[in-house]
Amino acid sequence: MKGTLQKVMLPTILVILAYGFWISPDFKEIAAGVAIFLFGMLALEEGFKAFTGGTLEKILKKTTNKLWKSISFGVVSTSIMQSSSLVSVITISFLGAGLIGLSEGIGIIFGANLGTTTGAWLVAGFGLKVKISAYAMPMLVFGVIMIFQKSRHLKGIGYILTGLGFLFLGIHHMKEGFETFKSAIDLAEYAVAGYPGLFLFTLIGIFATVVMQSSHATLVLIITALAAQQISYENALALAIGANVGTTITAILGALSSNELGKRLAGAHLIFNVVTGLIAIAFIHQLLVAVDLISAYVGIAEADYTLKLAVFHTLFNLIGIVVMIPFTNHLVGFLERVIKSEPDKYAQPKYLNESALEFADAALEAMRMETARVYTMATDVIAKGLSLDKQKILSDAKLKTVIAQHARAIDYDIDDVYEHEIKRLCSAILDFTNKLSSADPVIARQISRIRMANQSILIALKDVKHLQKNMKRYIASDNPEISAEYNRLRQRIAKVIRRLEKIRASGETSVTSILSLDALKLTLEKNMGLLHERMNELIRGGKVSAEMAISLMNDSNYTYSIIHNLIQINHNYLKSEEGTETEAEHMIALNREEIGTVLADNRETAE
Amino acid sequence: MTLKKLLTRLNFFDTHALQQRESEEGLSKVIEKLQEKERQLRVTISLERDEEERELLQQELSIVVSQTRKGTELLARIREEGDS
Repeated sequence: MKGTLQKVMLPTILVILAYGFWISPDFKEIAAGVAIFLFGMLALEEGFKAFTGGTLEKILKKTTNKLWKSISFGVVSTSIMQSSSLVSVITISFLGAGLIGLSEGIGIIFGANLGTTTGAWLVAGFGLKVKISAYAMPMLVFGVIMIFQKSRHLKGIGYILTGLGFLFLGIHHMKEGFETFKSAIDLAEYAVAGYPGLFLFTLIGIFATVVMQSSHATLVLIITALAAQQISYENALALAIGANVGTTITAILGALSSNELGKRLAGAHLIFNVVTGLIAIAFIHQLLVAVDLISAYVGIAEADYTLKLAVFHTLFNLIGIVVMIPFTNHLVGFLERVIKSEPDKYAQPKYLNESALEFADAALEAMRMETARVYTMATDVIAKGLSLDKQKILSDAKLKTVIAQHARAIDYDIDDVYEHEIKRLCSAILDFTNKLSSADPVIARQISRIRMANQSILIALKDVKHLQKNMKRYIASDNPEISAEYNRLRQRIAKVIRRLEKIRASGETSVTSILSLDALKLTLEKNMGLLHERMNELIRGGKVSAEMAISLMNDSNYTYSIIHNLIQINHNYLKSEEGTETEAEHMIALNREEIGTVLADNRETAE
Repeated sequence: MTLKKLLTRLNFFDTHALQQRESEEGLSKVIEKLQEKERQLRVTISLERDEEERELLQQELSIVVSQTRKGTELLARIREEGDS
């Protein structure tokens, strides 16, 4: 149904536009203005994407922990980016990636609605009074030069400048188009007065915004038409209300591929804008009086309807926020009831969704969160596979005591969890990394680290499966020597899980968390050496049978591999986001050969 | 000063130089932190009474010392490349 509609819609729009261009060159100029404006927005969006490499994510984390902060974030980010749709799509992707909660997301959406009104002020106060096309040309020239640079940031600046240049050029063409259009046809003659006009033009506003996918473009069109007196002031107000409702379509489209969190946010966006629109329609007369009073107070001329429209736009969005804030928690509750999480038969990715792919930052964070989730599940499986309890491993209890308390082997089907949960999730993450394949070397490096972390998870689990077989046989063996060795292997793995958990917990504050892993690598190599020495003694002394010795040899290698991969997972996952210090840590981290040298030096010192 | 020299000094359009500067900055910061970690470890070791724990801390110290040495060598190499 959706596909058929799309197939019919596009040719119809194209035919209508072509007919319009044929009968009116002025209409052609207005439409070209809108097209250039929209292209400018695309370029602007592309530019901001270049700056999302970690920065946006950090700002989001810090600035959205309280409702007023998230509202302010929405206002500021939308004012800078000049697109509430872009902010809402980013918010949905970050929400889907688990970076922020629903209440914070709703706060950002409220703020974005207010922030988008700055566009009306800019166009009405600056765009129509100054010949902005004069600024457009140099911006385009500088912008294009910057786009050709190799640096990601310079490219970003280039796209932003080009975007602004096209925005200005678009406004100029719309303005020119309406000016000349005025002499041919007077659209104002078709103005409809009263409530029928209000509803009709609200619907037109919704439709125009759905088609253009930008309330900003609709608003600029309204303001330029109003400046050229092609529409009446009342009808312009109704169009602005419609644009506000229509803009939610972008968020709804963005949420279609998102998880339930994204869908809830899009729902909140729709509810907020519809409620705000209804309030504006119901209290239109009171609002008009308020607009007149505010305009008179701030010194806006009686007949300056374009600026009055900007006042109206800001005022009704502000009222919407004031009305909705007390209901935020109810709104969250309502949306959680209506849009429920899908029940999991097998493990489903929690953070990976298509909308996160829109922004490399969100996608990388989603993959990191999912990898962290799989790692937590995997360590749980490893603990159970070793007949241990992860909670006990992570407690402050002495590991020797924990091992002694779990002396009996427990049946646990690693294969089942591996196939139905871990492997599925790792495959989903690897699939997701393929979708994000990027030419940007910085992003490619981060993707590669996440991929390697997931591969290490799978290898570690396979090794535990092999180790489990003999371990179950020997931990409670009558032979105290073999039982002690197998319990030592268990203890070693448990110790690493505990230590890694501590390093992970300090990951945010510890600046050298990646380098802390090197000490674990050293212990691994040292213990491996000690085990070989002990094993030779056991065999020489005839304390273990040949069969036991072979099992122990193989299983010590599996243990080595499990620990090595657990360290590798954390090496690749810990602070896999890019940063100059992270990169330096990866450079400084010691390789196996260097660890061997440190070990040899330590031995010499001891001797 | 010729325009070419001026541009080289500014290095605004040279992404390689920019990356090199970033690496240099990152390494310097991490080395500083490692030196601080080394100082703290030495204090902890001197206060530690448990022999086993002392040995573990000593082991960690040897790693930190090696990391600092590796970092310093890397930094010197990057600076050398930058000068040539």
